[in-house]
Order: sequence, then structure tokens, then C-alpha cells
Amino acid sequence: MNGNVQLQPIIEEINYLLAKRRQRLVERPRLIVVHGHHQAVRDCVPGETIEQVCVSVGSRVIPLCLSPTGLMIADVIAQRKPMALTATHIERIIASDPFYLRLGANAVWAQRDRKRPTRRSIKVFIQRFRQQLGKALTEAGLAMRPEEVLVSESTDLLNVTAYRVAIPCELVHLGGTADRR
Amino acid sequence: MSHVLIVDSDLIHIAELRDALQAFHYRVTACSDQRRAIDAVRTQLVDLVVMVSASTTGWKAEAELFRDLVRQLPNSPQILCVLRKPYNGPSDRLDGDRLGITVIYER
Repeated sequence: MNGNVQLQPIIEEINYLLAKRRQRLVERPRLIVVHGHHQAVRDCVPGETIEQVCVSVGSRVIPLCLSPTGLMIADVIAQRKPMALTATHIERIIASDPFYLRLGANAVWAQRDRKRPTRRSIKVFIQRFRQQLGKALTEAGLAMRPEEVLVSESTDLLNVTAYRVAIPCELVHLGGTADRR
Repeated sequence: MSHVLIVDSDLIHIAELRDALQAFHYRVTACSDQRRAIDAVRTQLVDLVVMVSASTTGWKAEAELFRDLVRQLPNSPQILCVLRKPYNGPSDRLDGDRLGITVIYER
């Protein structure tokens, strides 16, 4: 009996964690990244735009208010899921991946000299991304913290944090081929 | 029915915990070594991994190994680390937060 008394807090915690997991499975939030000006049959190709990043819960879709750079950083993290990325990784991907080098090239308003975010500014954009996630989760009435959606993980390097999205991500393409002029 | 995987090297403790959880109608798999636990996580659908550790520092490496393993799974289970050692201040729970796992003490 004494053993059971000792185990009681553990059982309570297990009950709580499993109930929370069940609740999350029912609510099942997803991160949706919407690409525009899509010209391929499938898959993402350079030249597309990142139109929107949304949180979807059930039938509700809540768009996040992110700047173009914020959208790009959210896209990098979502596309590389489940890999956790540091700010340096994100900076390198944006500077070298053809998808981001030619981002929006298919659009009429294609911006030629896009300013690339630096490692330091990426951290600020990630904070803003997390703030927007928090607002969306609150709006959806979910008992989830944004830190549980955009997870920070320590690395073996001192004071270097890696980020990953812990909910399912979906890439959606808008039929934007006719928009190119 | 939720599936709980217990990893604990203490066979008496593992039996007590298993009985207590089965009373709540959970499906419980008990493993006394980590290798079997890893196999179980890979081959079965697990909702929660309960790692019981009496080690002062070794639990972090074990927890990190499990976290890295389960992260690759489609429906990755949560991890609860139960520490069977004297309370050592908030550092263990903070380390757990950094690893993305829940840490509690058994007293």
C-alpha cells in the first residue's frame, strides 16, 4: 500500500499527460503553408511565392500575420520538419536554396534585391512567429502553448538553440500559373 | 486504449507501476532494459514512455536518446521521466523542459 501512495503522483501525472494527448489528437492543430504562382505538376519549385502561413484546427483556418521574411522563415522550418534548425542553418538555407533565392520570381511584382535575414534577425522573426502562433492557438481555444508548437531545443554548442515545428505541417499550392505576365 | 511503455531496471517497482496503470485500463508494456524499450517504441504504437531512473546524471542521456528516436516516428509518444533520487533543486525539471520531456520526482 505504501508503494501505491508513493506512486500516486506519478499515476496522476501519467493520467494528465495521456488526457492531454487525447485532447490534442482530437483538436489536431496543423500548420499550413500556402505557396502561390505554382508552375510544376507537383512539388515546390523555385519561383513560387509564400502567400500565407496558417494554423488549422478542425474546420477553422487562422492566418498568421507575418512579414514576407517571417513567412520565409516559417516556410524553411515547416519544409525541413522534423529536423530542428538553428538560426545559422536557416540563414544558410535562405542564402543557398534556389527556392528562396528565386522566391516570388514567377510573380509580376517579383522583387529583385530581396534583403536576406541574418542570424540575429532570424531569432527575432522566430519570436514573432511564436507570438503569432500563440495568438492563433488562443483564438482557436486550444490549451497549447506556442512553445509546444514551435519547439526550442538545445544543441551541443553553448547557447545555440535549434527550432522545429512539433505539429503536422502541410504545404498547399494555389493555382497561380495564369498570373505570370 | 492508451498504451504506456515503462522503462525501469527495478523489477519490483516496474511491477507496482504496471499494476497501478492497468487499474486505469491502460495497455502497459514493461521493459527492464533500454534496448527492448527501443524495439518496442519502433514496432508498437506507444502513447507515453515512462522512463524511471535512479541515476543522478545518466537519465539525461537516456532521455535524449529516446527523444531523438521518437521524434522520427509519425505519432511520436510523449516522454515522462520519473527520477528516483533525492530532490536536487529545479535543474532536473529545467533540463527536462529543454529536452521537451516532463520530469517528476518519486518521493
